[in-house]
Amino acid sequence: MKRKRWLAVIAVFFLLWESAQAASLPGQVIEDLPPQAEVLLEELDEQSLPHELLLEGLENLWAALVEELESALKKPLKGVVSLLAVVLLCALAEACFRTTGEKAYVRAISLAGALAITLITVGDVEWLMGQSVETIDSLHALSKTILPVLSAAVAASGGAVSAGFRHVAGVVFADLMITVIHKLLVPLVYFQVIASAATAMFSQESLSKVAKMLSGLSTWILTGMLALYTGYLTLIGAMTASADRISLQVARTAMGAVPVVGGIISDAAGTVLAGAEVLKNAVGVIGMLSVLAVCLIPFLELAIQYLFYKLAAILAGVLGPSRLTGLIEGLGGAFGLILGMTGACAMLLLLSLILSVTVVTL
Amino acid sequence: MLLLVVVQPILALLPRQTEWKYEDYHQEINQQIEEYRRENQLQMEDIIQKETGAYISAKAKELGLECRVQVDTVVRDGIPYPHSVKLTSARNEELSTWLDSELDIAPERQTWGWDE
Repeated sequence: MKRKRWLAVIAVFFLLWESAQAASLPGQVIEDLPPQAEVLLEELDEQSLPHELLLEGLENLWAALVEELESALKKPLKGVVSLLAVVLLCALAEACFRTTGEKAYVRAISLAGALAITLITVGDVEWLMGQSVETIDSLHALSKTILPVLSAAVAASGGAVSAGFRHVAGVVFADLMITVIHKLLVPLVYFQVIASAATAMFSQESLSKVAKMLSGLSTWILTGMLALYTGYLTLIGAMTASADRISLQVARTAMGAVPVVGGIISDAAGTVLAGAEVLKNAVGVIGMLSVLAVCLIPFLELAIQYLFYKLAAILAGVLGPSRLTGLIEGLGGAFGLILGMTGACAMLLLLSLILSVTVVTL
Repeated sequence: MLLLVVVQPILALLPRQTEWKYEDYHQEINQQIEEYRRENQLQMEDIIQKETGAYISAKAKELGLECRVQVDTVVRDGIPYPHSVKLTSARNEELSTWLDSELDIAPERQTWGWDE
């Protein structure tokens, strides 16, 4: 019902609009957007052209990023310092007990160190996983709001054939990816954390291999899905673009064949198509900015967490036992996976939006 | 074994869910496209009515007539064409002939002395 209302709003707007200079943002579309995107878009000038909207939106996003950077850098610092402190203490303790020849204590120290590192990290894993899942769910909701509207706008601007194929696939792929992430990849990340911790605690090399295999599998699944989707979009875009151009040309020729009236009809069709093109671009830009607004802070926090853990693994490699270094690397890898999952969902949506906006059918 | 436990739900879920959702979204998007197409059609009809009306008014002025014009359209093969016209002035043979030959609006579809 909500969608029908804002479609009516768009229709009324078009009937009143005479000059194809700017497209107002469809007001009811903003109501259906996630809160982070709403905050960003409310600051934008509704009368701007789509490319002006994009530049203005990117500027606002950059300002928000810079504002959040300091707190995002501070958050993981305490955890990473604690990790390095544990590694240093374990290294010192191991060195002491090695000189006395008491190997049992050395193993116990490794076990205690691995347990301490896991306990320090598990809170971060939970929190960041929660952020990532929330972001992915927001992107999913966004795809269901924006892609059907964009599809209709692409069809209205002359891309009737490509609209149906492209955007249905976009929504289905987004659904598929979210389902795979929720049902498979999230459990695999937890599994990887457990496997890395168990490897460090019990010196089980087979578990280490399982953890690496799971990490590789998750990466393969995400990149595979993205590659498949990109390939599909490219292929379907090439196949349907010519069909759209031909049907438009046939219609224009048929209109133009009738003298006088044909000219009027052809002009009217051109005006309507131009208006639909501007609307399509405006909706596409809103969509892109919304995706970036939803992902920005979580992505920043995940990326910084991942980099800090990688740095900690390098420093731990210098300071302490290799088992603990491997554990920190494994945990960093888990953060990398969470980052990858969020990034893949965002990329899927951005691809759909960018390809729709860059299609020119006039 | 643990890996199979993790993977098993997704293997059971994927094929059924994907098929159902494709049809669902396809229908929803087609409905949206159809609504936009109808809105575009309305907009085109409005523009054609206004522009044809302005064209007729300009011709009427050329012939020394002052009148207001309303054009109605009819859709043929998905394209709106001017179909009938209402004019506030009294009947003018020259304008009537012109309407028939230039715009294919036959005399029986012309209304003269129209009271707005």
